[in-house]
Formats: sequence, structure tokens, C-alpha cells
Amino acid sequence: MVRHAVVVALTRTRRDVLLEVAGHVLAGGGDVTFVVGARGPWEPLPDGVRVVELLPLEDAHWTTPWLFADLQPWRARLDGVLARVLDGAGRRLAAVTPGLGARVREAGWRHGIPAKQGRPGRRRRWLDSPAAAEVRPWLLWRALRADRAALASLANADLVVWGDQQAWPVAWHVARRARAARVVGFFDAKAAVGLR
Amino acid sequence: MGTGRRPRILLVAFHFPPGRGSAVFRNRAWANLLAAAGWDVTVLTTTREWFRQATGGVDDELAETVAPQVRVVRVPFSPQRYRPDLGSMSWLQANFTATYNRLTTELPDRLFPERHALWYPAATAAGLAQVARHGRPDLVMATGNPFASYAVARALGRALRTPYVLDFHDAWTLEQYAEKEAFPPGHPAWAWEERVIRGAARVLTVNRPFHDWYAARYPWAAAKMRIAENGWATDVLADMPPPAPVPEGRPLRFGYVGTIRHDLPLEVFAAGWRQARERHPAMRDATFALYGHIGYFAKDADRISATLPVDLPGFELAGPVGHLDLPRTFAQLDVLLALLPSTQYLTSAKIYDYVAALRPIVGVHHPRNPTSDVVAGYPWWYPLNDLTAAEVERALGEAASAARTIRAEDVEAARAVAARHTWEAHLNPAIEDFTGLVRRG
Repeated sequence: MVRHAVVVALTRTRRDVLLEVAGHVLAGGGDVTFVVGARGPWEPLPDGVRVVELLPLEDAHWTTPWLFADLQPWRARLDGVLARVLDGAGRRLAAVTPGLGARVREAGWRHGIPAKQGRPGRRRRWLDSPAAAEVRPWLLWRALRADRAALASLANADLVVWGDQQAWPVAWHVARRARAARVVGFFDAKAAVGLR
Repeated sequence: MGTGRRPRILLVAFHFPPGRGSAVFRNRAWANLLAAAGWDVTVLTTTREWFRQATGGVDDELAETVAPQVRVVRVPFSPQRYRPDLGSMSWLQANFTATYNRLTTELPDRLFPERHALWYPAATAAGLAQVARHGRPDLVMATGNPFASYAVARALGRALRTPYVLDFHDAWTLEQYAEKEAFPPGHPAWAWEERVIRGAARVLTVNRPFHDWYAARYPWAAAKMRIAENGWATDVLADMPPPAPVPEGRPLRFGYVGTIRHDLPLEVFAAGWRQARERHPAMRDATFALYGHIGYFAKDADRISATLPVDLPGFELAGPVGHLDLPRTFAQLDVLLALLPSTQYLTSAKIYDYVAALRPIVGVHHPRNPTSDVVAGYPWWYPLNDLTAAEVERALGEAASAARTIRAEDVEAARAVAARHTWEAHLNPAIEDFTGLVRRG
């Protein structure tokens, strides 16, 4: 009997099979946790299914604001510092050579406003890029890993089911952390829970 | 070839027991018959684990029927692309799958244009190791698919100055189910196919349409092309008891035995089955069982399962059958159903087993499929004139009547046809030809 099945899937391609498996585990008194991008596309889920959403975790992970978001706070802060440094340098120069100092202050640091507004489309371009196709599934695992509470909720899994290739990093690491867990693909999932 | 020793052959056969499927049965027959003909046979195949993981099942009993004097060399080959197993997957493949796929697909593609490309260096190295251990072969033979085996034969043939033979169990550049070219012009597969055929001493195909397509494509090689049909195994099916007429009171048992592919004409069959069951008294309460693995690759099973006619009256999904269990399975059936894709290039290997089973056979496929040529003269062959429900109904009705009125003379006629289609009958002429090739060489 399966006590806790963790189902990892980032696309809905195998939704029917995975929901059937989940329903069977729940009917047998076990727990089921779905690890998905967002809950919405998977609704309606059977009563009792717990859900870990990876996209909010990804948004909160440091890589998003630092590298991939439209608006990057670190960059706005850096721009503020550079603007202040340039203004201060202009003041100092003005005391010695008023003309040069005035020109420096007038020129200022011109990138401050774009940095505060962000760069619209940066995140979309990242998500559509070939690099994201290579790295993002692993980044989603890193985002999950950073959330200790979410990770702890998966630690007692005795069955890990993956539904697509994009789910492999999360499923692989979850299975390694739950040493007793059996890890199967969607094609073996029914047999693993005693269906068919 | 030195005097006083047996001729040596290196058979590059990826599909080999304990695998399953028609290619496995054919390669087992090659190995056993070559050994019986006095050849020193070494087979290069892959591991049991590959078959277990990629195809979801192995037939260990069948592996025990390989002649003991055949040397089987199992070359490790990763099954992860066919049926991923996360439990044994590397960190790189699990975490950066797209990168891993590029490294293991695009780069090997430059070596050989096929997803089994890495079989080429792996089997070539294993072949050379065997040569170092057991001596140079007099002949190298490769069966495809995978077609990388042909590149292995060519590489070994050139390195060892040994003739090589290609056995086209499946077509390579011909998409035999869609009946069109499998690759666009300029694809490297064309150049590779021409290269391996140019260097081959013999090119074997499994039926006439297939042979003619290749002979037309490579007319300069037509003289070295031969047909070596599939067959049935006398060590498995020779003792099939003759059928007895089925009494009126007992419902007939129809069955299909073979891999349950995605392109079997099940929809048309189901419609014809319903009609026949309602209208033909001989088919009252008849049952229909599908025996076999669902799909060759295990990962396809769910997709194909969803297309099965589970609500058909009398339908039963009976599960896989080991090759050695065929006699017992056939004995439970009264009429066999040759559900086949409709292509002129396919003579299904299972039809030979069906003929050996000595049962009425309904050919559920388009008449363009050349299977009727194989069973010419078989008294209980009921083909369709067209792939329609009405034709299925008619053929089922005729086969049902035949099953209830088995005649002794028909049994003898069926036996005579079956005797023409054993592996021995179809492969031994080619083996004699190989012996001639080696002597001349």
C-alpha cells in the first residue's frame, strides 16, 4: 500500500493517468502531494490532494529578481548609488573647476530611471529562450529546495511519480532525499499503486 | 578460411533473446540455423536489462533455446531513452535533460543518423574485442533495425577485410507503413544506406515488394539482393495437434496473438465483429481475445490501451504470451485473426506462426498487404476484398463456419503449406549461399 505518493508534473499531458493514480492512493487511505507549476490548470483535484506550487516559489527565489525579472531591485539600487556618486563628484569638481563640475552634474547618471522602471519583456524573453529550456527545470528544483517547509512535506514519500521530462530534476532530488521511495514514470504509475 | 576449422560468422543482432518481437525470433533462427549448419557463431547483442527496461518484459525461456554453441556477447547500451528510469539516471540527464539529449543525440547523429547511433562504436569495439579473443570471422552479418548495425558490419568488414551481409528485417529509408520515403532528399541516411549496400556481399529482405523497392532504388546492387522470408519455429510449433470441428453448442474463440500495435485496424474490425456476432448463427456468443504486449516499447502501452475496443461483446485482453507458450495459446483458439496494418510492404512475421497453428485465419487488412501471397494454398485463409466492416463480417462468418466443419483433407493441405514456411525452409538457402561466399572469398 502506498502511504504517501508525490506526483511531479509541469505539463498536463498525463493529467488523466496521474489523477487516476492519485484517486486510487487516496481511496486506499494514503496521502498524495502534487508538485506542479500552478494549481489552476490542474483543477478540479480530488479532495485531500495537497499541492506544492513551483511558480510562486520560483518568483520568490533569488534568481528571479537578480537575473530574470523585468524589474531588478539590485540594479535600481546600484543605479541610485552611482547617481549619488556622480553628483557628489560633480560638487567636488565644481569647487575646483566650476565649469567642469557643472557639466558633470548636468550629465548625471542617465540610467537611473530605466533601472527603476525595469525592462519590460525581459522575463518573457528569458522564458522563451533556448537557455531557459535547458536550465529552468533545474531552477524550479532549486526554488523548491529553498523552501524548507515545502521540501519537508515531501520527505516521507514512498512513491514518486513523474509525469513529464520537465519534472525530472524535482522528482530525481525528491526521490534521493526519500531513500525508501520508489520512483516511476507515468507509464508505470498505475501498476505501482496496484491498478491494472 | 583455414582448412579444417568451422567457418566463423559474427552476427550483429541488437534484437536477440531474451528480447521479444519478430526481429528477435528471426535473429534466434539465424543463430541456431547457422550453428546447425556448422558455423562458429558469435552474436553481438545488447543486455537483458535493455530489453527489460525499454520493452517492459523479457522472455528468459526463449533465451534458453539459443543453441549452446552460439557465443552471445552482450554489449551494454543505455535504455534510458526508451523507458527512462529516474532511479538509475545520471545527475546530468535528470537535471539538464535538454542538454543531455543534445549531447547524446545531436552529436551521435553526426556519427550515424539514427537514435541508436552509439550502438555503432559500442558494437564495433565489442566486435574487435571478439576478434582479438576468438579470431577473425569469415563473414560478418548485420540485421536491422537498428540500422547502426549495418555501419558496424561495414566497419568490421573493412577493418578485417571480411565480406559482410545485410539482413533488412525492417526497411530503413522506406517508411513501410506509410509506403513513402522515410527521409527527405539529402538526409544522411540515404548516403549511409548506399554506402553500406555498396560494400555488402549480400543484401537480404523479407518479401518480394520490399525486395523490389530496394532493387529499384539501387539497381546496381540488385544482383546481390535476395529474399529470405520469415518463418515459424519447428522447435516451438511443430507438434501442433490438428483442429477438431467445434461443436454447435460451444461458442467460438477468436484470437489475435502478437504485439498490439497502435495501427491495427481495430475500429473496422470491431464494427464487423458486432455485425457478424449478431447475424451469423455460427458466431453466437463468440469471444475475441487479444494476446500480446501492448506496444513494443513499454512507454507506449497507455496510449495504445486507450484505443482498445474494451466494450466489444466477447472481448478479452488476455495479456502477453511467451514464444514457447504459443502452442498452448493457439490450442485455446478456434480462429486466428491476422490484424495487420494496410501496407504493401509488410508480411507480418506472425502469419507464419498462424499457418503453423493449423487454424482458420481471417486476414483483417487491406488487400494491398501481401500476406495473402504467403499463405497461398492454405485452405482456411479468409482475406478481405476491402477493409470494411461488411467484409470483416463476411470473412468472420466464413471462418466461423469453417471452424465448425474441419475436414481431414484440409488439415493435410494446411500442413503442406506450413511445411513450406519454416525458418529452415526460408533461411537455409541463404546460409548455403553464405558458405559459398566464404569458400569463394
